[in-house]
Amino acid sequence: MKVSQPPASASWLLEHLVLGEKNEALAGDLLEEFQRRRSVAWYWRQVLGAIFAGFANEMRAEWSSAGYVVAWTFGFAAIWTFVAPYFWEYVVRSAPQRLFVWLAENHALVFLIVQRVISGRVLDDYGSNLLFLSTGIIFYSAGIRSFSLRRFLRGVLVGLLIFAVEDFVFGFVMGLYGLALWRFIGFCWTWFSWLPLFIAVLSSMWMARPHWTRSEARQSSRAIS
Amino acid sequence: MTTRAYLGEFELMVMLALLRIGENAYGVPISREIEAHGGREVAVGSVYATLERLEQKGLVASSLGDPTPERGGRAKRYFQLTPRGLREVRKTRQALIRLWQGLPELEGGRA
Repeated sequence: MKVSQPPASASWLLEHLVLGEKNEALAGDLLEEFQRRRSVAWYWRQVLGAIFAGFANEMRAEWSSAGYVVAWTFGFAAIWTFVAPYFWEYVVRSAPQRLFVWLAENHALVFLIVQRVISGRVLDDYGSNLLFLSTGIIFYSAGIRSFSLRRFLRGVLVGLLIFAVEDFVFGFVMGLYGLALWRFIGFCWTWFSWLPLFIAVLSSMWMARPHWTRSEARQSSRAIS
Repeated sequence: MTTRAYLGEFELMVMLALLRIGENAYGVPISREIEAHGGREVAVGSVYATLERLEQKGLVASSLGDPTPERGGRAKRYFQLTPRGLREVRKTRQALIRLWQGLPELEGGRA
């Protein structure tokens, strides 16, 4: 017997996880088509496809934010991790250089985090990772022309929350399979360990940027008209 | 000099589907049209994402219909090409025809 209602969990995901506009029309289309002749598997494929397409569209539209997150999580921090030892040993000699180092030391914690993450101790450095995350959002927010403290704080809070959940799941998986994975994957695992941080920073950027929700965008357009 | 909005493969397919369907062009018929002629399943979400992008470029315009009970009280969103969109499709067609001409590999209808 064919069910007349699509899976509630899939509908919930469609309602809450698809980024961009036109959600109402899309949800109506899928419901109409499902009730006509489609299977539950088709509905799930459509929902997952819509989530992916919405995300890809947002990434394309907000390429500068996405680029910043990639640079921050995978580029800048990782490069510094490898450069730092040589920097301290060979470059820092004169008084101006020491001054620069003193300034840099204010961010040394961030770099320290990165070094620890790269060296595979991600699960012990929760606080440091959060600091790294927050610093990224501070730099990002400073570059937004219409800076809003409320948006910034929301970005930080959402980022921290997402990272907390991810860190818990990550820790759970590591606890179950970590040792075996470590042996198999080796060095690559340290890079894979960046993923939770990357997702958290990316989410924070999305929250911190102007008009991050449809309701806000609507309010803004109403205000203009 | 006007800036050309270069069309991707899927963007072009969506715009051609809009032309083929005419007035009743919303998410589901557009997906069906592409599936029927493109020979692959299409995610309705991808169609909407593409339409959103085309609308931002000014190549497509949309309007809301009335909500209906079989859609859970949600309205359909109808799409149509703008005059600029139609011009871009024509230009893309001409460019593709020029590129296809004189290629022996594509003659005879076999891969």
